[in-house]
Amino acid sequence: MDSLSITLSALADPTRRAILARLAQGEASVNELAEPFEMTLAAVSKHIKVLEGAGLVSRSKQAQWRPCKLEAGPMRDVAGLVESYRRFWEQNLDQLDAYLTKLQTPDSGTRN
Amino acid sequence: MNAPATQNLFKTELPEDKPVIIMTRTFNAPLDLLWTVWTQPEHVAYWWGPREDNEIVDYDVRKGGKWRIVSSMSDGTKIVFFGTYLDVVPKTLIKNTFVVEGQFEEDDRFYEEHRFEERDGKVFYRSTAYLDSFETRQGVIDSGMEWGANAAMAKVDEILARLQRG
Repeated sequence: MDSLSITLSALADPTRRAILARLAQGEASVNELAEPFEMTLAAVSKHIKVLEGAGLVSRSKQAQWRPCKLEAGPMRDVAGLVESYRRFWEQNLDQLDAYLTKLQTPDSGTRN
Repeated sequence: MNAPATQNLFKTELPEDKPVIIMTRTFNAPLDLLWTVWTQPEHVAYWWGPREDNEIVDYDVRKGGKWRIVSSMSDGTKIVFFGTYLDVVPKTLIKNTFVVEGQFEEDDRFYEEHRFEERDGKVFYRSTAYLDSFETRQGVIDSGMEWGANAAMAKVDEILARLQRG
């Protein structure tokens, strides 16, 4: 049960990312979500199902039109991955920079 | 010759149309030197990762070659980084898979691309990490893990904002 893989898989599709982008502005019905796309309502519904499966989107059971809502939880996992990777390389490159400076400074004891 | 470090502009981009991370920066060093420092294990030990103690187990910088670095932390924790070189063009390009044992699985479709270009005696560096392939990897990231996954929360808004712009 690798929920992060499921999240990333769901995010890998441009249509689904566009749907999430729309939902970041607020709840929307399936009809509203389908509007900007040249695809059938059924096709859009399928994408929404994938997003629901990944926990990125939830659908209200109260209202009859069952609006879709963005769920930030799984995004947090993705963000964690991206952030840890980014920080790792940022630190690496800083250290590389410092090391290069040291190598180019005459009388540095390290090498050459 | 002592240019301030602040001249080395560092930038991270998370483009909205692809799950990639792009990092760019400048190094105040000639390309020859940077390439040596990047590709020779005796140099890598000085700048790699957590750096308490790095053991460069493999570092075969050529297409198909492997790399493996074991970083030991002061508390005894060991972090193992490894991968395979998918492509190497001397002083221009390195493409490699990036694996952290227990966090990232090896997958040819998750790779880093490092590009180097010399301009006026400095090196412009650009890396692109392709994350698309994580859908197939098995590893689970634990947000409490060693190397700084905790700032995750703050990133959520940023990523959402980027999605929003897309």
